[in-house]
Amino acid sequence: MNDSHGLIVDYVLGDLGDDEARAFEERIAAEPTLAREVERMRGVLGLLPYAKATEPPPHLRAAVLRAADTARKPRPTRRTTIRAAWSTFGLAAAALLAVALGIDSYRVRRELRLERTVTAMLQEPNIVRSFALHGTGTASGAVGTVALDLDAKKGAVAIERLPALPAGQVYRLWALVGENDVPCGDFGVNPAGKIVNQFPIPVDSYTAPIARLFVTVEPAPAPPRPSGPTVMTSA
Amino acid sequence: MSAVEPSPGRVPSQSRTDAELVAALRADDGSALGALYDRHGGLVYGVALAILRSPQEAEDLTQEVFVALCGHLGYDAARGELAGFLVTATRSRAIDRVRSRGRHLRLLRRWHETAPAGASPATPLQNVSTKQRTERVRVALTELSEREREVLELAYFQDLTQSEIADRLGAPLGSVKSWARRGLLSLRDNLQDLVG
Repeated sequence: MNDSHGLIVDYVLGDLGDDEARAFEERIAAEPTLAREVERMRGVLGLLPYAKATEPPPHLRAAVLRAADTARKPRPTRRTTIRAAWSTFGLAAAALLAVALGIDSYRVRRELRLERTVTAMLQEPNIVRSFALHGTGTASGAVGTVALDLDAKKGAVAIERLPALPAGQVYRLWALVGENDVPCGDFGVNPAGKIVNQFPIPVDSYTAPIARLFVTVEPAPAPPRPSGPTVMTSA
Repeated sequence: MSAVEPSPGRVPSQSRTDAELVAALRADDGSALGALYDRHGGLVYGVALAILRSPQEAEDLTQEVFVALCGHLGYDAARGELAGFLVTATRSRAIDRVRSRGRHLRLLRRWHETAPAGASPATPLQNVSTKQRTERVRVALTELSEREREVLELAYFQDLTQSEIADRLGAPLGSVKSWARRGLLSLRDNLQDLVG
């Protein structure tokens, strides 16, 4: 492990080139002890912000409360509200929040590429919500993005590295809306393990904000409620 | 009834958890934001200031982050602590601003790779307050030599590579690398109970 610390530090500081980083990530994937140490060092580096906590200027508190109060007042239309929120949220921020859940850098790069794919599919100006999906269980290497345009009533999904399914099974994307699981569409995987597809959105089903999106394995034709294992989920 | 006593059925803000305060905020309880700001405002402002290096921009960003917390910014208590979440949100937004100043890709990657400790679920000291964590990290940093601390901060907050740091400090790259390594190992030894 001692020989590895130089590399670990270079890696967590982002100082390795792409090829070196890729090679190191392969080692991390194969060596659990190394993986734990990398996580520890990353975690320690991630503590540095706490040392920076600084008493804000006294007037800022009132300014924050005032701004929040203004922001809470109803906006002219739902569309405006969603788009304004979206534009301040930003694709990069969405990806970062996904990363806070432990998705590694290589996956993030793929994720950003997928973001661009779905963005292109929906033609950017109309995008109103975007969700990063990450794999769990048997599909732990999978990564994907879903974008929903509730006004145009369509969504786009791009997923990579999903295992192929036996005949008679499909992947189904669901939206958790309030307490209900709303099916969004069934998808097959191409031979490269990818799903890139659009789907219509039954807007009438969206009676509450979307809490989460997830993907399950289902028999074809898929039942109206999730029955199979969850293989991907949004943050 | 004395004026300082909380009204019946109402828990004073100080004793409510972050998750309870966020839930209250969503339920339009205006007092919740003030309590959350009192608890985490210094962290958000400090991180914004460390990256943006402009008090005015740091104030603007602090305001933006707390306003977003009232609305669209999707914090979910099941995913980890609010403090870590706010740090991530602040950093990502600070990066957006730094990006617009023209130096972005590598910094973006570094932030991606270093999620704040509080954002990962279930660390042993999950309930350590931001204030206690700040104290712990500051104390741990005093164990580092000036150079070790400087190298880590330049790398982390100013987006410099170790080679760039060597140039800036007029020191050999090998020394910079060993300062970075010794500094991180020392922090790890002193803080590993905070990162699991």
